[in-house]
Amino acid sequence: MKTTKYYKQMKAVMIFTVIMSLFWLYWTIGRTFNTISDDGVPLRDGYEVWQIGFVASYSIFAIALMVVQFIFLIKQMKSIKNGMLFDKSSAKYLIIWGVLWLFYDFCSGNVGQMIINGAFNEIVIHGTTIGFPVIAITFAILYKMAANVAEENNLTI
Amino acid sequence: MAKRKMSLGELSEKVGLTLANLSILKTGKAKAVRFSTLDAICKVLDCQPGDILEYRED
Repeated sequence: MKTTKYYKQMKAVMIFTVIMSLFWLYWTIGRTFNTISDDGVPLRDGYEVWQIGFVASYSIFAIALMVVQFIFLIKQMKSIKNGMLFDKSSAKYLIIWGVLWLFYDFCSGNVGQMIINGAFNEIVIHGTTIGFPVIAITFAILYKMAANVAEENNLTI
Repeated sequence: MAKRKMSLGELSEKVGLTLANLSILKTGKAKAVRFSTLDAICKVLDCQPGDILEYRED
């Protein structure tokens, strides 16, 4: 099966993801660490330990999410270049992505309350916090099935 | 192959399979074989499918 067209499409997705991720990191995490209060003082100067931990977790989960995305995209591109549609070892990255998303979305949805209001009792859990990981894990299972079928097809002489 | 004094490379050329695929068949790593492939191999080696296939329990 000719996969050159799909490889080029994946490459375009990869380049777009890299650019948007770097921009997002700079914009979002930069803003989070440099939020200025009404008094003109950077909020981070008055952070309590748990707020520092929350902001650090938000940043770490965001970066981890991007790293897993890149690993998955690179493995996919390598597979497509070798003429394989699905790579068995890539499925676990979808599961890891789903789990990371759970924590990232929780932090993302509550970072405003945490760093500006310090309102621990106003934590919210959005639908996407649970929904996206469920979808990611479901797709990981389907991907693994597809990888098994692709392997059988490849070993059908 | 030995009886027909044929190498793997020669067989792959005559059957129309790559050396890699024929090697997969020979080493038993194939998951399935197409009837067309079996037909081509038997034609070239002038044998029956039973001569080149053996059942083994997993």
